[in-house]
Amino acid sequence: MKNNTLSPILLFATFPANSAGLMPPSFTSSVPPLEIYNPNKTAMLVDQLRFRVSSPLATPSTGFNQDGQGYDSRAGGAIGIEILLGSIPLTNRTVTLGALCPRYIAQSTRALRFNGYIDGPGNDPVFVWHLPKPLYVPPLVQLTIRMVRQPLYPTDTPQLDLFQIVQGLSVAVVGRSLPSDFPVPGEIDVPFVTETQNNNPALTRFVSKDSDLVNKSNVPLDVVMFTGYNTWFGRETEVVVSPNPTFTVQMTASNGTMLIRDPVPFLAVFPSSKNILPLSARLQPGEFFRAELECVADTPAFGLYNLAFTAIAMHGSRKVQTPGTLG
Amino acid sequence: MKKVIRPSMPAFPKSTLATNPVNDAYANKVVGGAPVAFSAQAELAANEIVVLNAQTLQSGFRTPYFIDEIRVSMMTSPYDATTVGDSTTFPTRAFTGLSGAVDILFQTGDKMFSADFVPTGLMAPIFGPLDYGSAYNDTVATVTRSRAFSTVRWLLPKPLFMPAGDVVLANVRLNDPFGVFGDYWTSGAKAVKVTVTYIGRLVPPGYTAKTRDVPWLAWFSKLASESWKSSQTRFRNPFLIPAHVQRFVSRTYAVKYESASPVENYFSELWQTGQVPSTAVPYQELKMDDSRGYSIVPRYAPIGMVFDATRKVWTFGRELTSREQFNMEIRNALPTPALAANTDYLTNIGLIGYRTEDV
Repeated sequence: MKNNTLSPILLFATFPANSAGLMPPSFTSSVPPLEIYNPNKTAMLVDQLRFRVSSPLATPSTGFNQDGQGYDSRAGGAIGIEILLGSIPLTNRTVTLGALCPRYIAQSTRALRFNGYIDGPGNDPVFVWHLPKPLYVPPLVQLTIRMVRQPLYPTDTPQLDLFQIVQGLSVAVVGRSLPSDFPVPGEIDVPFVTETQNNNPALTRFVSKDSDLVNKSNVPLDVVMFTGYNTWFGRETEVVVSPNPTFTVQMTASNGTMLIRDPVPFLAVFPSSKNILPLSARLQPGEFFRAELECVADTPAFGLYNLAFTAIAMHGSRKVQTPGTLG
Repeated sequence: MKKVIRPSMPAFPKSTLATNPVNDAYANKVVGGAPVAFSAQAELAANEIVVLNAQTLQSGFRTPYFIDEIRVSMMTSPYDATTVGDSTTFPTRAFTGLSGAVDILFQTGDKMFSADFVPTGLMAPIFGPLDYGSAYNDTVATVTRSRAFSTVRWLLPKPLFMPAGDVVLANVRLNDPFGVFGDYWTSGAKAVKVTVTYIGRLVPPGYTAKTRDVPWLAWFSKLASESWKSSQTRFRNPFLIPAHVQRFVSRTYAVKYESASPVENYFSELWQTGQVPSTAVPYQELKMDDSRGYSIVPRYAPIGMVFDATRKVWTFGRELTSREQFNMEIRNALPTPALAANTDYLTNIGLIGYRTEDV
């Protein structure tokens, strides 16, 4: 029978862990490509990617997402994601999961943890990336999704033991399977996400490199939003009040445009309800944005955790010639 | 032939408003007529079925109208059983799963919305925190007793055209599959008050319709204590005409029996659908295809990954031809979970759609 129906499709896959079933810092793996290949053998439009970090153990001290210790919402900062469509990159290197996926409900992943009224392990946080525009994936073109376990501190500490992802990281590619006679477009909109990241807790000031928030392609990039992600003292920063340290952000563009002229509190730009800064801008090839973070904490006793882990990601899309088949 | 003198209809009263809402040209053109709301209420005991008052659910204007949304609110009565748990626990745990305990069967003329009673929680996406159910304390004399309440707001897939004089009957049932209600109310006591409200618009004068889009609901459920279950023919288009599937919705309810005295059994809803708390395996998985052979979810995926995390729906937008069906299988993530004693979890999955029928 001819495949002549537009039908929803959801392709689920799990990132393989190491032989011990763990994902320690610096571990990397890719989703088996056949598991995210459209079995209907037609092109598909990808609308969302959903990532889930699963750690179902009941006791707080041994689970990645468990409550009680304050180390309970680092999943978003501990994982970096890289995505390619054939050889076309959707990300510039890896992008931190918490910056790739804007906060999905008006609460941090920490708040998502509570499972209502039943004792037991908490909910597994789900991170959802709504693609700026549906991504056309031709039949037989491979979608590659790779993860890197990002160390949250530059040196080993006992807390790292809590960051082992015990159950695993999984992804669902959500979209629509196209009819077999759907005309192949000459060019497609391909999302592109790139980030700048500070992972040095000793810093009180950070400036992004020119090669971080840059349009690396040879076509204009339509930027639709920035996302900001920060964890401090073990949890996603939620409120702009003491005792969380206050740090500010300024952003300028290489063409002289001032996006954020004066230092503004980070959480005022990327509020806890939805950590995005929407905008409509076009970056020509080679142009970039620069982000400056500066800690203005009035609580110096917190010392090393002034900036902690902070990532700012730039989201956009550009037009690319439809890739051929790779076989 | 004897002439029959029929009483003339009273003249429509002059409106004290600036414009008569029924004849308001702006309202009729832009919004399709004056807004209307019809409501009926009933109190139910466990396992009781009540047909709501059709007269109060019907338009009194004797003109056609649209129903745009259906709202259902549910609230428990203060419990009256003598052997109950402490009131501190009751408001925070018990009966926040009312949307899984109150089922409704809608029917208009010979057109039924579903083949059988459907839990109200499967009629709509989550609309806000009240959808999960909540509880508050209602002090009676010196004893603090508490109520639980829940609301569902169902925006129909397409406005439902109602000919003059027609009504959507609502048959309401308080389903008590686990017998938990009996612990808090004596047998026959009215445990839950249900209010059904239709929100819509009068049709502009002169508007006629030859067809209308009648909602279609279907569902199936699986207990965590069952290792595996298939939807079989639950999601089959039973009509001789195509049916449009707007979305799927999924909710998981939990029931827990406390054997120690005082009794503190409860029936609540889990935050994340398909998440079965267990020390061994945490969730249920589903896979799905259709009767044409299309893979929709080709490999078992956690239910919490399939349905939108905040609204518990999967917007579908797909048409099913006559007798075509979706096949869905749900299993516990292997191995079979070791559930805590006297606990079970019920995952419901519902289909919301419509079909176009002659008026």
